[in-house]
Amino acid sequence: MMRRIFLLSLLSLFPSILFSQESGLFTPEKRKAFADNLFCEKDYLRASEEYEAINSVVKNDSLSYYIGLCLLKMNDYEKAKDHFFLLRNSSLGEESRLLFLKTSFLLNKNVAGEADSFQNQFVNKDLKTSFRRLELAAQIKAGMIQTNLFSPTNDFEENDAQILKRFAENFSHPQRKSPFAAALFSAMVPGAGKIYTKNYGDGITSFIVTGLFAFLSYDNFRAHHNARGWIFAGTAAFFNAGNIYGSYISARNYNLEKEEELNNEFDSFLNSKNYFVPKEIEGSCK
Amino acid sequence: MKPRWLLFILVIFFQQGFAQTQLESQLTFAESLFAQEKYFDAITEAKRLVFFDSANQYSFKVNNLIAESYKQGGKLSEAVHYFTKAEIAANNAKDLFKTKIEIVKINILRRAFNLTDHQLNEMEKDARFAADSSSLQYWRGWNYLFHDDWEKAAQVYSKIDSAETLKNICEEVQKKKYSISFARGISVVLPGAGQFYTGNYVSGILSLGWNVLLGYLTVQAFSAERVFDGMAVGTMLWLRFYNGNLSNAEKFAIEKNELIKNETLDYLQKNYQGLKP
Repeated sequence: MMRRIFLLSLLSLFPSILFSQESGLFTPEKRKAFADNLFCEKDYLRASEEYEAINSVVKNDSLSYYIGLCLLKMNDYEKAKDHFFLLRNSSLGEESRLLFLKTSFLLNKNVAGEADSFQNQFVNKDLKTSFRRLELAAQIKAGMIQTNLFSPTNDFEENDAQILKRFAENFSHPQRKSPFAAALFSAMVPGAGKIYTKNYGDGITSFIVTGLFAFLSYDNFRAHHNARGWIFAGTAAFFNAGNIYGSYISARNYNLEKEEELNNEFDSFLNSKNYFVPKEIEGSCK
Repeated sequence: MKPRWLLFILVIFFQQGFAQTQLESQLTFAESLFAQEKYFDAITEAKRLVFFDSANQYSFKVNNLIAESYKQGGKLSEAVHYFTKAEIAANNAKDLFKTKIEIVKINILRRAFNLTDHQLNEMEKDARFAADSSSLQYWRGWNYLFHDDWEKAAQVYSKIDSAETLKNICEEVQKKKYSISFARGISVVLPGAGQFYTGNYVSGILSLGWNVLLGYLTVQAFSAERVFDGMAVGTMLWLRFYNGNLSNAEKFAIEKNELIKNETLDYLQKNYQGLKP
């Protein structure tokens, strides 16, 4: 009887011993399942903390890779880039190399040099193709014209190759307006600088307003109404100074707008095609 | 045979109890983090509990805890998301009312006036909340208050006995506020007067000075029979300054009212002892 009581007590104590040893919900397996769930719920910050916690106990390339993915998803490209670089020779080396290049590309860094060091380091056919596409996209963005887009060995569909060729042309020969030329034109003829930057409405208004005040000033001086003459002269000078400065700014804004427009168009093209990084290497969720 | 059965039942019982204990301790852990104002960690641990609570035993409590932590961290959209989950898990009318009110409070803070108004109307129509009409009115008052409609807020609070303080504050704000149409109106008659009314004396003097000078030049040009000059000064300079004076007076009144509103909300946040969003 006593033996049975002892056995029962031991059995009843067993779960609490187990609980204290493996900390219940905090075993590496459970933490991993929870971290995967957070990743799929797009709670990347918490997911990365969980992966870090497991990784500090059980070192694992896959966990490190997922930490990098979390950083990438949180748009922390600098850290993600460093992370994937460290994993370039791991068991997930090919995927990491590709994501390293992608983060460099997203950071608008010159990928050409980095891509060179990874040449011939891709064995997987799909990843190799992705690598070549990414390399080409980076060259287009850097303004190097690609003349071989239509070669039989290219990695793009024909329609996309045509679009990329147009992008390559626009990146290598961007439409720009010189801010100094715009200011100079406006100094010579009020509003001319704004017309040069295709700001037609403002250009015509500047010409009429400045011209009108200059004429009124001249007319008042001629009729010996000096006080009004000075007021109109001052107003004309004020408007013209604003117009010259405005033309300079207008040219700068024009350049920025065109650059942003082109970058946005290119990025949305790349996103819509998902050409450069296969979805499955960026973490899969059901 | 008897002791063997007893042994089997006890083992099963302890195993179930063990799982239960784990979840209970996890809840206590999450709650203690919340109490220590470690909201980020409280959310993590509460989410862990939700993930392992396959029977959804703690769903209502934990989703409330997550939502409250998000709210404390200023992440209001996430807070609404989790309060909605808690609302789905609510077991009785009391819990349902509590979570619905929490969502209303967040929408008040987000200044989503129409949405909050709609939610309160729906709750008023709901027979389950018939006994809580006074509470609904109370939050309706806060909705008006955040919508800068102090007069309606005061009207609502005048019908609730326990909201005397809020009613007085609303009436006081209503008295302190500047009339935008009056500020503009007196500036129509005398440029700069609206600025004086709102306490912006320098701007008022400048506005008056510019309008007097340009008005004089316009009149002088017409008297000297230089009609074109008069038209140019009148339309391109004087009229511009005159319009500027009107919109300036209006802008100052709006700014002052905004200041009064923000100061009052700040005062309520820091000093008001009753329930607040």
